[in-house]
Amino acid sequence: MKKLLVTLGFTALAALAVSNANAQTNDQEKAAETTPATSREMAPDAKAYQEASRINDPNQKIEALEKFKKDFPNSASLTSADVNILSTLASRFPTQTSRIRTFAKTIVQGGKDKKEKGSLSGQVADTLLANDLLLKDAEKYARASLESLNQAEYVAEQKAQFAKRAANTSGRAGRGGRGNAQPPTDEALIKRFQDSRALRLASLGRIEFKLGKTADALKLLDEAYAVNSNQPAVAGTLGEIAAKHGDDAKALDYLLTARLTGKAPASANQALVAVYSKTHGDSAAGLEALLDAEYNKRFPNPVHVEAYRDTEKRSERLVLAEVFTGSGCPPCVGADLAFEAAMERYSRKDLAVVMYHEHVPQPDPMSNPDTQARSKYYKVTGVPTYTVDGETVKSSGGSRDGAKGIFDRIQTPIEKELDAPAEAKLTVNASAAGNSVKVAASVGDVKSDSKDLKVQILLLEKELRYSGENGIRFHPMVVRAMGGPDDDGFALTAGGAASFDQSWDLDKVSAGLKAHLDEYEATGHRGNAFKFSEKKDRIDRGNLAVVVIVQDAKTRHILQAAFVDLTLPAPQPPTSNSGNER
Amino acid sequence: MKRLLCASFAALSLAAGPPNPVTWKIESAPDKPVKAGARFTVKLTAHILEGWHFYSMKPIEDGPIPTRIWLAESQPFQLTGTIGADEPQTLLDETLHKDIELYEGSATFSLPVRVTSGSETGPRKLLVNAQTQSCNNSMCLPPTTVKLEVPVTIGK
Repeated sequence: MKKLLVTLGFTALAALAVSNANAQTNDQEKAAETTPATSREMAPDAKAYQEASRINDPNQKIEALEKFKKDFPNSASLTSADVNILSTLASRFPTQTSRIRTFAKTIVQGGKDKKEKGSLSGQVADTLLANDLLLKDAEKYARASLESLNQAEYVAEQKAQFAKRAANTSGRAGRGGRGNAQPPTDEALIKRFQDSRALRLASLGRIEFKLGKTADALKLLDEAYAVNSNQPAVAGTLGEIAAKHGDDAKALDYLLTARLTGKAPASANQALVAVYSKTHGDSAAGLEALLDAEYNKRFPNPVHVEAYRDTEKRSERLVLAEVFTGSGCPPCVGADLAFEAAMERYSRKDLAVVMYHEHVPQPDPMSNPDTQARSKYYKVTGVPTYTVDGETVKSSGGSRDGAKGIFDRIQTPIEKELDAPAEAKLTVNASAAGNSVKVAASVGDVKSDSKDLKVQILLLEKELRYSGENGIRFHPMVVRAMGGPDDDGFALTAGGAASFDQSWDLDKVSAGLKAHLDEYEATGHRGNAFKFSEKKDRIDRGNLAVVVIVQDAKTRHILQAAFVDLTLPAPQPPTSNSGNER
Repeated sequence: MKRLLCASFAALSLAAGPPNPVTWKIESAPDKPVKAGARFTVKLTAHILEGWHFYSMKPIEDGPIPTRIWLAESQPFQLTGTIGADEPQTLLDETLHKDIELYEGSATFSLPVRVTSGSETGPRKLLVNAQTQSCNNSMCLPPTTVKLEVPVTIGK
């Protein structure tokens, strides 16, 4: 059995702002007395570690991590702190090889037994490999890590653990539904072992390739790939080796696979361009189209929907879904696909979806200061987070398989809102010409006494193509800029009618996006150096849309929204296109 | 490789609220009064609904939320060492391409605790926070922190 783990939530979700009361049952003897959970609490050591690990200045970061180790000597994050320090040293001070070697040695020596030393050796090897540093040392650590594994010991240990858990849970199946799972078979345990071993084979194989030991690398990587083909770095390196050997067809197959995962090493992506060009008349012009076709063929959206039909209660409201996501965020995959499906089920007269990209947990080249400000406004502490008409949906992330479940969860609030009366009348005229986008939004008939009303005007690109680390290639409705005097909307007097004009010079917007990405890259992501594989700062004039939102800034409730597709011919006359004029 | 959604996930709805796949039980705590300055061990077991899992205490870079257990502040008790835990299962995570440690079924944690010297005598409640993030094979719930109260009498 290969278990599909869903490792969702991630560090970014550590204090997710979702109230999730977790009342405990009291149906067993000596049950723990509990109170409802609070969602924002963090263990003091976890908080201290998070703060230290997010420091950008490498010296200050290392100092803070060392302090953390002293302050919390019993923390479960001590090893993480050590590996984090090693990673910071390797990426920011690569010439300090003696210091790096000493630190690496200390980390491994800290392991309490063969198993832990093996795991730590693997982490050291991977850190050095990721930074292309001290590869002979990395080879030694990777080999030690591989050799620390023993299948018979693993199977025996896992069986013993299962027996212990079974003893703990015996007799509980009938009470509260806590039952015992079937014991894993030997075959399943061996498969798990082989999966883990394949990771270590892969690390060693990649190091051998970098050291020029191609034959050794090929043997190790072939073995790893045979066990598990879902290893982007392995596919990428096998592709590079095939290219080196002149086997272009094989190289192309491996390299396309690696590229579509978004996690291929940069060298593999360069090899892909070279091999594709070599086999296509010295031109890479058709490569992106080929990747598009392969992506659509290999990764169709698993959520199948039927077109929405108005109910008798259908109002004049355009429902707005705001999605905070990240291209390097694995659990965002489920949410991204769920909202993509929602955009199929509902027309843009029913639902507007806007995607705010964040640098969480990885740098995201579609993020910008406006999307980050919006995230702060909603107090988003993790991605994916999504709202429907301003209200956060109590859900979390999901894998590709989880997209249907997320879709089911967002469908309810969306369809509830579709029947809720619009609380403002909104008319929008928007046009794009040359480098300029102009928007005129008129708001009237506001049914709110709030003194905190705001009109937000958003510039979107309807689709951006970028294969990020989570594998999603097409990113819909990406927010590129937000309007208003401070890029934070316009104040709206309660009950009054008002008009707002917003214009964008697209060259300036693009320059702003580039400046942000350049600066973020120069600063580093949470203290670690990185390079964007691609900066998505260019704006496609033929791919734009505008969304206008009337919102109570205090409660976040959305009164009405409008969506204007700037790629469609404006209706004549009048030149208006608004979400509430259905 | 992939599993279908399990029934517990399919049953998720906003009206019903998220499921609660984890129930905590105090396995052992001092039966007799404990003197100020003395040490004792509290064992807590988390029982996990079938089809769900949560993660070990070992953090993983950009990975899921690990289990965290800590004592609430401002009480006459302190942790005196590393929290012991059952050996977790180690499995390959297909999304992260990393090994990940998790618990299914149950997990027991041992907390080495000391009564702060000079503490007033009498019945007290040791307050323990336990944070886990539960996932099934398709999705995860937001992490939750449960507050556990362990009755402890501080004696002379």
